[in-house]
Amino acid sequence: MKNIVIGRYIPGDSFLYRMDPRVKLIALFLLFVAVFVIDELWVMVGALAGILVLLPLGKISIKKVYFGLRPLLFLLIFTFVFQILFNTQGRLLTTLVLDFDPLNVSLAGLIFIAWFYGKRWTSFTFLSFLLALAAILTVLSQVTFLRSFGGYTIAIYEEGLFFAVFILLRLVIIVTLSTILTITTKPTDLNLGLERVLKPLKIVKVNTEEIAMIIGISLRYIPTLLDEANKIILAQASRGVDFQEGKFKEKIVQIISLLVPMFIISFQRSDELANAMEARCFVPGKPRTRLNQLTWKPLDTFVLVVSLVLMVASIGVRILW
Amino acid sequence: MGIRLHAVSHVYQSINQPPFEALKNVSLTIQATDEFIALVGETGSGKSTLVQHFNALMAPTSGEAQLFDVTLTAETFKDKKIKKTPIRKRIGLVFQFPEYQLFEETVLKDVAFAPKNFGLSEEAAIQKAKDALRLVGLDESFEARSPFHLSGGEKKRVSIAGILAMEPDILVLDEPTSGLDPKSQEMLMDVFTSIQNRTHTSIVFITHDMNWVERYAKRVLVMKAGSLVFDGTPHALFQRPELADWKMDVPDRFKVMQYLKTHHSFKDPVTTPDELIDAIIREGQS
Ligand SMILES: Nc1ncnc2c1ncn2[C@@H]1O[C@H](COP(=O)(O)OP(=O)(O)OP(=O)(O)O)[C@@H](O)[C@H]1O
Ligand SMILES: [Mg+2]
Repeated sequence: MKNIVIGRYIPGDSFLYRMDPRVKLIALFLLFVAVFVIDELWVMVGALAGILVLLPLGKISIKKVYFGLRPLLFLLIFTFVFQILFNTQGRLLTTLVLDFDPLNVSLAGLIFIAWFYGKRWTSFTFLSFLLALAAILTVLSQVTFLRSFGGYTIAIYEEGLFFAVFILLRLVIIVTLSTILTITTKPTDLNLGLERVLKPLKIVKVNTEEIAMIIGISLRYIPTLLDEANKIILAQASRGVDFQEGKFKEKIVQIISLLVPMFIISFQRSDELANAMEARCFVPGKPRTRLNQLTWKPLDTFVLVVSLVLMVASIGVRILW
Repeated sequence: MGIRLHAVSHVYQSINQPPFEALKNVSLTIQATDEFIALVGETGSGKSTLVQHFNALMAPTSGEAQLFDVTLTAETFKDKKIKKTPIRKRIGLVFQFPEYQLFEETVLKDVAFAPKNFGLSEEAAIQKAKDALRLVGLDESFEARSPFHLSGGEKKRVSIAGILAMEPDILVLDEPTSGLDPKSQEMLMDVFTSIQNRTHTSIVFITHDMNWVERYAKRVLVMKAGSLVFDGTPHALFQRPELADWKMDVPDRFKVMQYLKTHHSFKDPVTTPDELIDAIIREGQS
């Protein structure tokens, strides 16, 4: 819980930090478009490679980005497996005939148990899980000792594999890009950037300042609320709530004992925030001056041009290839 | 023996800040019966972090915490086979801020929550809850009220009752008297004393008020920047020259004596109110 990165700013210094928040937002938008337009696997792999180069250049450790991805790991695996198992379009690539007999099922079970108890000693839980899964599949498909009592055929089709990898890469790239944005941008800068970027919408009477403020405050408060959740969990643990255990009915009580104080505290916080803002004469919609003015640097032009080129190129590839 | 910490250090890790060592090499022993300990120290000195090691909410980053028959280290803490809940039943911790735990619709249900979790039947838990509420001075009219519509001090009492209701062997209170008026503070401290007289429960309380330390505690622990710098009787503490360095006050009575010493050249050291009265009378006569 403590290591959730979403929305967290991590102080540092690199060109990613020095960029104008407006440029970051626009570049992010352009790159999102590019990533959604891409339909060639090799281009997607290239994009991922590009990001892997960008991270060390921008002095962001891959570990932190991985922490950002971790809450989504389940979603990523789920979409991946779903595509592989149920997409039956294209050429049949390979089939994996799983044959269940008492011996190989227990062998597979043993491997799983070994992984389950061994994972404490390694920090690569996910990687070791993949290895264990591969081992289990091998055992189930290749080794038959006794008469089998059933079987299941996993058929992997070209399209299935393609989309599985493709969608996985797309999600990873999108989350990584957004994580880079929040890691390198102070909430206040992000807020200001949003406000400026959304400004054109004012013509159609959209209250852009308020939208920017809402997004900014939400992002700012994600880590705070996570900290609060942590404290609530400890306080309830003191009263005998064992969050790691419990039957379904107990789980419900546990969740309620976490959510109710969470809501109360969120409302309290927002009340306090509103008071603090009013005490400083904040009036919604009034024009405001800023302590730090945004300055446009050559770096910003460069990044903007690069993102634009990338987007146009990916559209080009899509149309022409 | 109840609690024994051996060379416990705790480091807070977070991604956007450098690691912070909130406890440094703390060793101490707290007996399971009849202790009355005040834990003091300036803001941020690690008091709350320390007491969360007392009931297995936190694990030492290094060193070990022996809580009754369970020994916790950084490694064994992760072991799911070692159950923490029984420890938390025996060592009850009341948190600094009641907002973090109140959640039921009524005060009575909320106080009965802990005993119910620790395996009591509904009726038994309700009975314990009623008893605990009477103890902290909340009468029947509070039972059906929503815990969210209480004043700060009342919430505090409800959260204390919530732990009292589970009748722990060791009762740990993180600033139980903060946010209460002086009369209620005194009343609560008396409640703790009478609980101890009745059941020999050991009591540890965090406070910033030296008057309570002097009046109630048999033993004081002083924290400074994550280290335990003093462990002894209140009386010994107030003689220590380092008090100012530890950002600590002396009880009002000591201040009065200090004043009399410097401004009226009192010679006799006085320690009890009666002695003080005698000394003033003597001084007045001479
Ligand atoms: N979750 C956390 N992450 C990082 N640092 C923390 C965390 N919780 C506490 N700290 C730091 O650890 C130190 C000790 O905190 P702790 O809450 O134990 O202090 P305390 O003595 O109880 O203070 P107070 O009298 O204000 O309650 C503080 O400097 C605090 O900033
Ligand atoms: Mg504290």
